[in-house]
Amino acid sequence: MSKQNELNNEALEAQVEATETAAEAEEAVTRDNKDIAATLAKQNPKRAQEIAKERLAQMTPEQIAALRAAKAAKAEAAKAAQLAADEEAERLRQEEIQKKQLSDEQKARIVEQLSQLTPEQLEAVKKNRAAKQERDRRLAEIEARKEAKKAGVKAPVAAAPKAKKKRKRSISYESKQAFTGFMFVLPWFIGFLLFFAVPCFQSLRFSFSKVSVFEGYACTWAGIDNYKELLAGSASFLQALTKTLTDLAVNVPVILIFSLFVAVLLNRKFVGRGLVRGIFFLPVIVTTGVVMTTFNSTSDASAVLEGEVSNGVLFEVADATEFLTSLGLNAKLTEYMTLVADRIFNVVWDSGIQILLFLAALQGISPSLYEASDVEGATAWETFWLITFPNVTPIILVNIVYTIVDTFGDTDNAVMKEINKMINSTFNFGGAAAASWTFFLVVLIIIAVIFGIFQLLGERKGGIK
Amino acid sequence: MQLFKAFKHQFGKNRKSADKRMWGYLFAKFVGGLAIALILIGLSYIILYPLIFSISQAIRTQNDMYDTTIIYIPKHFTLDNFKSAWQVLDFPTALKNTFNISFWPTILQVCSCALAGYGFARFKFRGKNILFFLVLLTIIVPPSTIMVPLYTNFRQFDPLYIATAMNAFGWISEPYLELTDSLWCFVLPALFSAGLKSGLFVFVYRQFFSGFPKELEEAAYIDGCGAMKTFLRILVPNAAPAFVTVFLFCIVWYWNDYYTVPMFIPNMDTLPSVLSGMHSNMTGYGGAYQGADAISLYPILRAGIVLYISPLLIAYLFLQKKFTESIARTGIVG
Repeated sequence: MSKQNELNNEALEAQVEATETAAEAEEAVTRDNKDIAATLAKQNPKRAQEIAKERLAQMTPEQIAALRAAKAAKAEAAKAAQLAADEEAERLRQEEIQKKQLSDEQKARIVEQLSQLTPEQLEAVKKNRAAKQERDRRLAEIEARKEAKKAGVKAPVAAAPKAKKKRKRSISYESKQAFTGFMFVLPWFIGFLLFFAVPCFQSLRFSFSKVSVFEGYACTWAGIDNYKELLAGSASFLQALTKTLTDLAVNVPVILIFSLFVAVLLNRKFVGRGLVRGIFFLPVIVTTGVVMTTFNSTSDASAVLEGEVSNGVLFEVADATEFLTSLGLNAKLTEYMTLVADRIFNVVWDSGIQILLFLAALQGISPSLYEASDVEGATAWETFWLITFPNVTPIILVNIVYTIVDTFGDTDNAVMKEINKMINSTFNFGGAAAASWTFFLVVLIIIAVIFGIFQLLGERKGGIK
Repeated sequence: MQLFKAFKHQFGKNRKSADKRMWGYLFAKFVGGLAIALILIGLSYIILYPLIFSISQAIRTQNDMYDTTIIYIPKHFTLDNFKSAWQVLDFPTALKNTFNISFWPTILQVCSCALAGYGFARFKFRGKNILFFLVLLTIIVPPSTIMVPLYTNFRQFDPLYIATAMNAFGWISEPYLELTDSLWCFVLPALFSAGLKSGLFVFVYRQFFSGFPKELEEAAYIDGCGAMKTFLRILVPNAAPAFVTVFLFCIVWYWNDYYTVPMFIPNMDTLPSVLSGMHSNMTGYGGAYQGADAISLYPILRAGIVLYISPLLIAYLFLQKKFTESIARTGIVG
């Protein structure tokens, strides 16, 4: 929309310029300054011609003759360089300025001269002056606008004369848009302050104080006691944090690879694709701690109670571990693999949104790229690494961050459970707040590191190019 | 057949070797397809496993639970488990409560987040980037951080001393408003786009509106529409994918929320809360199944899970296509 604004400004400026030229032409004519009149007339011929015609009708034969001479001069002036014309215009302006600073004596002389003029000429001079004032006003307004544009603040409201009623808008377009934009964001901002910023601040205060809750709450400053207690006192929080971080370290790569793999599969054309897609996005809808915990707890319990009743054999991996270690594989690697196998259920259930995002990215890749690679004789492997993978790289970052945030925000992870325990059973609100903030700091650092890594990778890629 | 023709065309000069290559290609394709089909079927099974297993156990009699020859298909069908689960869960009440707590905040959040997202996408104003950084911050901060202060705030809600002022005028009896135990503590944040995961939704809307062609809006402005009118007349009718995505995710997350609801409205029985407490309710003191054998209760628990999932599942069956399409068109990815 700034285009329209620019156009507006341009039109206004052109108008002002026209008025300016015309006014100067008039002035020149009245003062018989033929050369300048010609130059100015050149700049805006139509308006000048109109003015000249009007003037001609009012003038005596001698004056007409003088004008004819001026016309001849006009032809000469047309050949003059633009620079010269500018200089002359500048001189004219300076003359005008000088004229404004005339002494009383000179003023008296001008009054004398004025008294000698014919009524028509007087009228012309008056008209001229009015036009000049109008021009100055407009120029000032434009200047003000430009300043406002630079500063990005409300333009000073210029006093519009009664004669020009059609120009009501006196606030600049940009500041108006900025105001509208802020109004759009304002509800969110209020909500942010009320339901996020204030609680955040209070929580931060809690974390540094001893909180006792009784009809409201009372805080007594305790320094970093809560944090000390949390990190050095009891091991449970650190254990929970380590567990959550380990989970994350295992889950993020597995979820990423798995979801990309599934997305590539689901992007192919095959019979029953709609059905399979529906099944794979089902966890997004049904995924809920409640169902999963209820299901898991009951099936675990039943597995213990009566092995055959529950279908516990499905995810039995203990045998696989023994088998792999007996083959002489690295113990750590085996551990990781069995860890992954143990989690396959959770991984599949947790990667619904990641699959969706990858699939959306895959569908955004132009088919002509694949056609071209097909024509060049690329194998499916090459096509994947040279076309598919580079095109979904941006989404990898999104997915990593989403997975991390999702895992950390999940109310079922170990740290959250620990914090909830502090809130619900021991009423240690200060400790809970301290735990939350420590946890948040860890999350923030991890996300910052990942962003940093991607930034570095991006730079290196750019460097190679 | 088309494939055959294509190959004939490609290797037409040497028919014999062409045939060989073609059959090799087809074989490779067949094996690959088979492998993919197996993988997909296996993964689908893993995803559906809890569902299938729950349904299978929910429709069998208690005696069938002890029969080791039964894995999936029960010998004696019964729907009594659903009846019992219906009663234990107090399903109609819980469903109504869950609907109230998820639908109204969702509607408000869909609208308020759209406004904020549009503001961030289209307008330039001072501090916009800082504000948007704050939006991202609300996504990252774990909910437990602000839960306790938020609770105390709702307990004695008094923004800008408005309630105190109202009390001074004698309009309300206390110098604060008590919002806990009422829908207000979900509706109010949603109204100001500060509800459940609202930062994410603002982000989604911003991405969508940024990708929206600017020319349409410019045309509307030139025709004399104000910003709000332009938004309602031009943007909203064309933003169906974003609205559908946000609506679905929002309602699902509210529906499944069992962390904030029991905290803010402890007296309200929603589906997640009654389901998580189902087992202890049944076997605990005063429960209908006090002292019953744990295994004999599994069919009822499974029936509870099926009942819980069914509203979402039915909605998903109808909306599945829209759901998967809309997220692709939201522009989160692009």
